[in-house]
Amino acid sequence: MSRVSQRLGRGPEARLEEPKRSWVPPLEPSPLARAELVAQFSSELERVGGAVQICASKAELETRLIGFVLDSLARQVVSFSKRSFALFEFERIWSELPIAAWERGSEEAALEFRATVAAADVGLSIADLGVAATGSMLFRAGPQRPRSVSLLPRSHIAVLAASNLVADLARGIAWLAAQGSPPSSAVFVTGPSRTSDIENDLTLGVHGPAAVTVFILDN
Amino acid sequence: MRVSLFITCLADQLFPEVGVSMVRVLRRLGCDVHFAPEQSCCGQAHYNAGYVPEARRVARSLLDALEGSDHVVTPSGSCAAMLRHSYPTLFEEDGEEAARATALANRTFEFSQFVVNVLRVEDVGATLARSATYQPSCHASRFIGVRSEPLRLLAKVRGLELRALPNAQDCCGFGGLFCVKLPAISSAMAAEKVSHVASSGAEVLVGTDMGCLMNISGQMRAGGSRIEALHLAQVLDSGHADR
Amino acid sequence: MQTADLDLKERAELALDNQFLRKAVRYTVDRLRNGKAASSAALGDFETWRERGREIRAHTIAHLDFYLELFATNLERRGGKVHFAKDAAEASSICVAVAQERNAKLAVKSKSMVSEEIELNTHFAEHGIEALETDLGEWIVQLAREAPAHIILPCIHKSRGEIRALFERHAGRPLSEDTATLAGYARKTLRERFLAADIGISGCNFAVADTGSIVMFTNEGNGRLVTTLPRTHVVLMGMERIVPSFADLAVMAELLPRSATGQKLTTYMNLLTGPRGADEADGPDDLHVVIVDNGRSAQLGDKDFQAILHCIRCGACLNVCPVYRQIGGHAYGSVYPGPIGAVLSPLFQPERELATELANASSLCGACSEACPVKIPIHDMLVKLRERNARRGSGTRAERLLMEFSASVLSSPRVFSGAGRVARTLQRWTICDGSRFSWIARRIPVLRAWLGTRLLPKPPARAFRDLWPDLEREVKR
Repeated sequence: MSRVSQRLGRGPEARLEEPKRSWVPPLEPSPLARAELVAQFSSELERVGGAVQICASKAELETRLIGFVLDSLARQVVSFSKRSFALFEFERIWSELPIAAWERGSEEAALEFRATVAAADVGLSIADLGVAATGSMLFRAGPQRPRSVSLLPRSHIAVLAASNLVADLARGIAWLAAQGSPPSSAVFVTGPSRTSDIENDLTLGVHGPAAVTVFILDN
Repeated sequence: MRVSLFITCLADQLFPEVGVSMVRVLRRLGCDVHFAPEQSCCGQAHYNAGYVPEARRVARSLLDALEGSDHVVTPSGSCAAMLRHSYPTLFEEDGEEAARATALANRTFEFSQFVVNVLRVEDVGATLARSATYQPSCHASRFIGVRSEPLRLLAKVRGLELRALPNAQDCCGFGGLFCVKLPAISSAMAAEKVSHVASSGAEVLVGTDMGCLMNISGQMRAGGSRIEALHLAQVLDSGHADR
Repeated sequence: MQTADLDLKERAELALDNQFLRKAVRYTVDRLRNGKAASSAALGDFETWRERGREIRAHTIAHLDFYLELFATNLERRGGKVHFAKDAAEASSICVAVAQERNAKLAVKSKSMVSEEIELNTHFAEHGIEALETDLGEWIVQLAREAPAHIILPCIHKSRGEIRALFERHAGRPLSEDTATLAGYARKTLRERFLAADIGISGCNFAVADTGSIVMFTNEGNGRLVTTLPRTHVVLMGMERIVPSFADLAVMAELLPRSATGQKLTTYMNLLTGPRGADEADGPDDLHVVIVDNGRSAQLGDKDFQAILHCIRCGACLNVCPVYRQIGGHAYGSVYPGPIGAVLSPLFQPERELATELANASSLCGACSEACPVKIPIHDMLVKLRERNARRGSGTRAERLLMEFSASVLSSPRVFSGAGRVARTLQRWTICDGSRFSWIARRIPVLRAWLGTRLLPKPPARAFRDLWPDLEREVKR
């Protein structure tokens, strides 16, 4: 560290002195109406191989979500804690699907949950935010929101409130920054896991989910 | 308008017809063209090979030769880039020379740049009934921003059918000493360029730099191609009544 | 392929003979640069974004001491452990020590160019720790015992047939060669290892000073697995990866994926701040960040080369480089290939022989500088490196003599004029365009190189300067 200051021709005190700078914030495009945000988010996500289901009510969303999971013949679904879905007022999901929702508890419980996630077919999560310009969703890790739910199962299903859509990545990152000290993990997910490492041939799901489906509540 | 030529060592010794065409085009546009025979070379080959004191020595003689000139016009985008982009750095250690180098940099123009941006002419009255494709030389386009000028001039040549050159922005592999230091890589680059020129279907390859044209055409001729390489000035000097 | 004892020219010739490689490289770079063109156009006014990116990088590097201190303080506040490593050996030792403390047997790795730089896998192996690459391309390259051929796409030089053969040998059973089968085999095999691994090692694209966050841009998801499943996560970070704040990150996040792969955003953009919280189900128990110098700080304060630390390792310069396009990555013989590698390698490893020759691996066309999302003048740096080499007398004696002699001739117009006349006459009488008396030409190295695939122009009887008096009369008529 002292070598860095020395090479820059400064003493060690420079390390504590905030440099002046004239930071010009990015020029942001004009905000879009919600319908436009939903349309742009959907087309961007579909472009990278994700799927979008737009639902007009909470009841419709729950019904379609259950139908979607049952149709996929999933044997084991894992999800964020039940509490984290409060906004969506799920009732039937917890009984009608073969689902293990994370609940905070002992370290043994965490260990067991991690094993369940590793063997699950579907991960069900709630996105904090959607980014229209890129078709991305933000997932912050937390006591209610394990990281591996959106990562290990082959199919990842997220629910997202249309009111949580922002226009672009700069706004998404600004929102995250505004929440205060960042979580241990915050990840912007844009479609399914992909690789073109074999002769430039695109394939999905090499490590992360091969399918990403988002149910948007647009009421 | 008074114009001083910087003919470049390559065009002087190997392609004098390019200089002749350039003089004729400029005169038709009303320029009073001068040539100082004390000039030789800009020193680019030395500079790019890292031999800076040698480059400075060569460059200094050019500074002297072009002293007192008005607009300096050159048929090479690469040499123009050397004067405009690298001379100020080359002489930065000596205040007086730096000032002269910067002044020269500011009054030096590549041929098409001068015609379009200074003389404000796009139609020089040329006629050439052939199909042609244009190779944008790297230094002209990237270092001194010569991008649309040659195309705008070519678009106004009567009878000329302009064809697109695939991967036009890729270097032809000349690169001064690069082509003899790493000849295998250079030849592979040239071979790809030649294949793109051929696929354009053009009869003529037009450029603004004799180094690039000598490289591409040398490779084309070795391969038995009949595509002719012409400097932009030669095209613009075609089909005039006074010829 | 062992190419360590070959020089650049020989390595290049080897690559030029490999038709699969050349086709694959061309196809790949075309795909990537077309993708970049499309995605940067979609952003609108990409030049303004580039300028913002340049400003951010220049500001950060000019105040690197302040931002590194801030980053380290914030990371430690969040429970991360910060290590500074002055060189490759120290960086490797730190990683080995962390692994040994955890009694680790298996380390899973996501792509990290710094780990290639410090040859971490070799050091782990010496201490009986298995280092497993999990990026599909890196794993393939590791199975083949080779080095990556591209910063972003490590195994573009491998055909699917070769990949199948590698996987079959690994699996001990036949596999079909369709992409889904091969990728599926990698998923299944590597997933088991992820779950068994003791330690995860990753690189980092950026480190945010005012939050202490590590940021990774990835596509496959192995980066998330490496940083989520093992109990210990070690980040290898070049000391210049810093950005001041999330607002700066937002700009870099628009530039990096577009420039690297042509994506608007990579599949995963992961911001990691400290180890997992007390109530969280998963994530590492401890997080170590190894901040690696290894030749970087020596560039600070150097007016010609400080800007090389602005590099964000997107690989855009590789994808537009006409030299890389012909020879691919391995011919450079360095960890970092392409134009950026031709500058980074000699600067970071000045003691290596390869350092001097790499600066020549460029036609100085400037495509690299034009493509760079943070406007690093790469081609100017190549010229500066050549100057450094020439000053140290690294050119051949013949080259030095030629340079001195030609400078003498060219700086004296009268001598130049006479010499030109003699040379043209000689050429006209003897070798003309190289198609006859070629035995003479082939004895002169410079001509031999040129005439390999090219003819010379037929020299004119009179130079332009000889025609000038006539031309002057022309106007007076």
